[in-house]
Amino acid sequence: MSKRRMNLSLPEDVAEYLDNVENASAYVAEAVRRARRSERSRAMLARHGIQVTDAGVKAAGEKLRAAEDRRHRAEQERGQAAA
Amino acid sequence: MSIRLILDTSALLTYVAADTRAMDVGELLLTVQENGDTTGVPALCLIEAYQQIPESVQAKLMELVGDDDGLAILLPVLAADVAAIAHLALQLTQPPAHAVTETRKHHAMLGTYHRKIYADTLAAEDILDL
Repeated sequence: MSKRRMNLSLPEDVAEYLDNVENASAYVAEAVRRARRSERSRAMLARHGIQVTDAGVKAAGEKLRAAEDRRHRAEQERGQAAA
Repeated sequence: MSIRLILDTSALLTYVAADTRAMDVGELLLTVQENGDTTGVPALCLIEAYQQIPESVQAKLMELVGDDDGLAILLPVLAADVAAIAHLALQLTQPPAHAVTETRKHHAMLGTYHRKIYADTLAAEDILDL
């Protein structure tokens, strides 16, 4: 994949953070790709008649993580019972 | 990118209904993607849902799984999984049998509105009530 050098102006806090990232270019590229992926997905949901909110996405994440935590605990308990 | 969530037929039917419950499914799909993971749609569940929806919304379902970099990926029936699906389909119909097989294989959560269907084939903690 071809690459292009760019000069960017960034807020001080972002620049400081990137100073400590091993490969800042790759980090920024991945962050931009993720953001674009999310924008495309949100646009598709809107086309499909589904309006999502940031608060709803956050709540969905918390619900999923809570379910995964319950599963993790149950697996640990089963493991201990089997030992 | 790992498959963190599997959607069964009931979840897909809700997605295309585009009502308030569809918003919950959409937000769940987004949170999975924004955390760097993906959602899997078993092919047999997609086919079952496709048969039950109006022609006017069939394209939505196909678009949901139509982009490898999108919100969800289509999980085909692999030769290696046929025996497991066939065995589960002795208890369940084929679409939920495929959903159970993919949930186990990827150690994912199964998102469904029909927990009871899976009571004998998945641990209760593997199921995410939508």
